[in-house]
Amino acid sequence: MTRARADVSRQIYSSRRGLTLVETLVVLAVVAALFAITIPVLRGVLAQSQTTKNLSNMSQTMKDFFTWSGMNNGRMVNMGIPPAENPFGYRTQDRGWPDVLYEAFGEASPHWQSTYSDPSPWLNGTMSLAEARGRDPEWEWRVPSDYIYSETMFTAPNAWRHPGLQLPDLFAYSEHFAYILVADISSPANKGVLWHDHIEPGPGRQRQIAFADGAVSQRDILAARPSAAHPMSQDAQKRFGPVAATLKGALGQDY
Amino acid sequence: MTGLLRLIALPAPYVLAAALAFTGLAKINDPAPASDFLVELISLRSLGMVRAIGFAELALALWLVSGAGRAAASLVGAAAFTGFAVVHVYAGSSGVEAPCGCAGSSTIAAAVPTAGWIGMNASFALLGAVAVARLKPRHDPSPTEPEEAATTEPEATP
Repeated sequence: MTRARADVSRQIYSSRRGLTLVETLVVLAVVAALFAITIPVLRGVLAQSQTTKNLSNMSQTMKDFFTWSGMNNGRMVNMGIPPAENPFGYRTQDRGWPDVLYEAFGEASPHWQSTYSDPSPWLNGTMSLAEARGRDPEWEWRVPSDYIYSETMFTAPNAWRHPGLQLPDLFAYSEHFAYILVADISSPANKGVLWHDHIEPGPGRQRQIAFADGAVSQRDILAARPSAAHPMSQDAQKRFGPVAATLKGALGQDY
Repeated sequence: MTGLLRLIALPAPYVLAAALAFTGLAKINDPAPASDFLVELISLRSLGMVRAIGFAELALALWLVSGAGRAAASLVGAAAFTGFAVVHVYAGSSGVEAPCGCAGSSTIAAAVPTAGWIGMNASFALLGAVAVARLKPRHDPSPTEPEEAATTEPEATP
């Protein structure tokens, strides 16, 4: 009887023996492996979700721009160019386009993030237009790269008349711009385009593009670029020169 | 060796608790840097989530110092630091440049390179593992370690 009790006692105690150092390290290795598997999956899912949200925001904003234009005799919202340099389109004076769209559409318009603290993810939707009001439009709402040119595309065809901004200059300025034109603006119907560079977590660098008809797409900027040179290389000029001529003819502008 | 491990194991839960309490409070008070890190790492912008992690770290620290289930608490602590180490390895290999915000916006913490955080977290994980291995439950009659059985049974009184 005593021996039987001792056996039971030993079994109970042995089950509560605890872990040895090796066993503990094995447990930690398993934990590490699980983390290593989970993080990339989580990252991919969240990045895809963010991309979907960004593209949706861009599509809606593009529609808002053109709706606003329809409400204002075809004028386009000033995208941030100082009035002195912007003889076309709607004079927003010192207001930024978020302010203008907010006045027109209120919270129905997509929410935007300030570019002040972090210029890259400007479409994450973490700041409402109401919150954005009153901020400095010249700085906070300007997307650092290519922003002025996305504005120019918005105002097409009027923009081509601007003496300071002519199509060849635009081509010379940005290879990204030229590639987008080749791929997506071969039709005069697509005369408006909004884009932003979306920095993917890690080495990826995507450009998200919204078109006048509300369609959106995303592409890998690095894969689309002919070279890292800036301004455009001679090779790129050869490739895009005919496109510029086509576009000029399609838009019917004399510049 | 066993004696050395025990010497390390005894204060280990308190060391882990101190580290967790420090980083937890930093995340609760100043979650923005860690949030920026998460944005770069997994495209997730959530101050609430960073604060939740901070509260979880604080709760774990309290568990560790409470003495209840100390081996289990040490195991959870070691697992947490293992997770943090893996996150830093992944961030380093993915080219994430933002500071992790592990200690809020402290400039000293921000200056610690990724390799430093990996080493620190791995060390804490190892410390927790030693604590788990040496802080066995009482009434351990392991025949291979009679001296430990004797020392861990103080209630064997007349």
